[in-house]
Amino acid sequence: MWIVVGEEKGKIKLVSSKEVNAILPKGAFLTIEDEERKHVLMVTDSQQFEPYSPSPMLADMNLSPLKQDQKCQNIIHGIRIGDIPERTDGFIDFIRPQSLARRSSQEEIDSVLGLKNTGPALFLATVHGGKNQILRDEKGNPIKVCFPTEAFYHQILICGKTGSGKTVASKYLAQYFVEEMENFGAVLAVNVKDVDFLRMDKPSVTNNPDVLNEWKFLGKNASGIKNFVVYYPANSIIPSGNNVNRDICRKITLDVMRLDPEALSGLLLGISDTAAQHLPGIFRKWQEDNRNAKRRITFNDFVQYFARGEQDKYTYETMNSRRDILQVTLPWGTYQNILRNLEYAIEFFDNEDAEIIDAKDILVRGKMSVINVAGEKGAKFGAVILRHLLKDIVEEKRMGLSKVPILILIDEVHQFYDTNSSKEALGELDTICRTGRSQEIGVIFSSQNPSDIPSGLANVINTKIFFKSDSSAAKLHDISVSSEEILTLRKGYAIANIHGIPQVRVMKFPLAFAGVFE
Amino acid sequence: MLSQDENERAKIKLNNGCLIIHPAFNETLKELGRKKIRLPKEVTQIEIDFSSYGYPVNGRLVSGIEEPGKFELDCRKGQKFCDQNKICAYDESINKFEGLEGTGFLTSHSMIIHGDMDYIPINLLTFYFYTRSLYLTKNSKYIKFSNDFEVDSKRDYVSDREKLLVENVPEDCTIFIDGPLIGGQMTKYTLDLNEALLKKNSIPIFFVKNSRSNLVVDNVEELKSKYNSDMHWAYSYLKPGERTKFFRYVDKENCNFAKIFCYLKAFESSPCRIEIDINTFKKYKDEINQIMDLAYYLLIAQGDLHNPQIRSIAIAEKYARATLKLINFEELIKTLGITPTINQERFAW
Repeated sequence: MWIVVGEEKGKIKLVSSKEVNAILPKGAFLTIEDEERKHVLMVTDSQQFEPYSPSPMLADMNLSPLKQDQKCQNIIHGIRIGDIPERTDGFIDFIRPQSLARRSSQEEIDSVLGLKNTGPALFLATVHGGKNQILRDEKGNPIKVCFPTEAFYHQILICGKTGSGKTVASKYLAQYFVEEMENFGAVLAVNVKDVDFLRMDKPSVTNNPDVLNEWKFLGKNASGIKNFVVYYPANSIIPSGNNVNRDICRKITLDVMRLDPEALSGLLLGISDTAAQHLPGIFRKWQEDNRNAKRRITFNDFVQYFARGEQDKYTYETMNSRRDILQVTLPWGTYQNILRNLEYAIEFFDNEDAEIIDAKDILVRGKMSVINVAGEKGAKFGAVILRHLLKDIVEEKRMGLSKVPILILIDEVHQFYDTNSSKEALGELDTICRTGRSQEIGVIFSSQNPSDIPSGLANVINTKIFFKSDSSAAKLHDISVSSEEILTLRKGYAIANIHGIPQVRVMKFPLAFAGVFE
Repeated sequence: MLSQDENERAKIKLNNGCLIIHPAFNETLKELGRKKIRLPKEVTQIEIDFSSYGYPVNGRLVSGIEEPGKFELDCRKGQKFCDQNKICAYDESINKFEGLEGTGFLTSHSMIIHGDMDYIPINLLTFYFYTRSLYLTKNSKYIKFSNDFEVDSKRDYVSDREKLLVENVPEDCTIFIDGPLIGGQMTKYTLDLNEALLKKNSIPIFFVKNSRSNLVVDNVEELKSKYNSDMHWAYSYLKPGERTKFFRYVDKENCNFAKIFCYLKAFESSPCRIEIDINTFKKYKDEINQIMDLAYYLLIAQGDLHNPQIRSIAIAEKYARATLKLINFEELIKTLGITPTINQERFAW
């Protein structure tokens, strides 16, 4: 029990009673009951206090201290989160001195945070004095909080150093989205390294008793995602010996005539020349000119067309999205740059033994699709197909052709979009981030370094989750955190600002049920 | 005096300790309200000035309780004694309200027991109002008539102290009491207290700081005229961690007014005086040296070089002060309309 002392600078001050033999960590919730209402506080500051302030002289003289002098109390400051039930007469209840407080129950926390019992369950946690812990109620049960499903559509940033838990967290959220969310959604993930996302069809494997206890508390077991497909560029292979199920892997290629012209700008990453931005217009005009060709048109045809521009002094006809025909003359250096990138990308296109995928392949309820772009040339392919699919998905949703909610996981987004991309350069990604809520399109950006996130996106990401990182990284995104706190986060623990539940600050992600092998 | 009727006591349990509110406490305040007696907002925190209680001039110092010389104290033995025995302490805190109609004393008597892992406080709160106005005391059960409120308030103080300690000190303990065993009007009450505690097989030890007594330097031939006071002599004579031999003092007129005392220097600062009743000394002669070691240990535990104090007494004092704050007396008297407003204070006469 804790005893209310009074209010100090807008915070309720409490002191522990005799039975309390430890410090209640920051972030914990306390409930004070009076005759009419319960008042729930969140601990913002908690420290040890020695009421008898013993002199250090005994220790200096190598004498044992008086054990009574070693008494410690826990002094707490907390902010009022809410009352149960809320007053309706426009006043706020006093929290009276000498009132007794106890740890809040799950129901009380749910009530004051206005939580619905839907959404992936996370554990409320604390980082205090370098120690990470899951918060518990008076009975010792972990306190959980459900990640609001609306938050998926307000865009999410997950940051953390390698091994801090950010990929596992993405997997956990993705599996919920496809298998547990009401009406089931679809997930599109871009796998950029190793086999991170390629084994989500398999149940996770762990012997960690803490993880098993967490799963037990949630009533869950390890389970793979049932409808899971890995797409990979036809010009690459899935390396053998990595335990990826070949039966669920499908080769894909790009169809030059169906490719959205804007997607081609994905090939121009690193080319800062603004003249290079004319490539989609040149491509659109070329596509239009060849729309009715009698023979099979390939990307190689476009590369040859572009190369012939040398004969026209690098002057091309372009067509913008309004179908206006214009002319553009590229500087010689830009021409060379673009040509080099086009030649590099020829192998991404028109492979006869590979599938061509579009939004319809992705927007399937309960399906998780992973595009594997790990390996050489993967990023360029990823940059093009991601743009193409995003455009297609937005179009499909805009036209009302699909009502399937979709979650897009983009790991290391800077590999696909320049960090300094403007709103315009982000194209459909920007549109998604701004209209995701109405279209039920969510994006999770995952990165080791939050400064890699394109500057144009920073303002539209409403949920920020930081696993172990540099404190400067978190502060960059307005997360109030000390260096000690963020550097001492253990695997799976994160400090966050989640859309819809701003009071929740520290949390522990359960281990994903699929695709994690400890 | 406290009421005999235990049921009248309002006891507020505080963990394992308790706060006892004197039964006349609220009634006195209500009566002040009814008679429109005002208390000033300005409160004086007072300490009973034991230094003014010298030994009666007709007293007699008899040396020879121990061999001449001084004795080294062993704080490790003191620590061991502390671990193995029940220890208690007493101190008080007093707020004085001097108003036009009389003087009020709000007193927090505080006793602590060394518990297993904590100090267990037992506090008694009293409030008395003294006036020379017969008019005000007429038909009043609680407002006290007094020609000399200083004397009467001390009598009430020692009486309440005795009651609290006798009723609450556990058997077989050593209790440190802040203040002298023999001094002024309090002597009889203090000796009664000592006797009652002895009956409970408890050992009362009286602890005096800041004394201006000169009983030793005036009566020991070789010290005469050399020192300003006994404390001055003890400070020069002792090294830190030493005590003087025990002296015996007996009142010429009343041989019951007698005590054993010594000076103890814990740090390179002012020494303190330990006083023990003769009967206590006789009964616990074999343990007295260990108790001196204990006092030294507790002085170190408190660790205040400038104002040496027995740790247990210091804790009792903390509780005494905390209790005064706990009841928010100012708010209480304001509620009863006893506090004058600023205007009343300014223009009342």
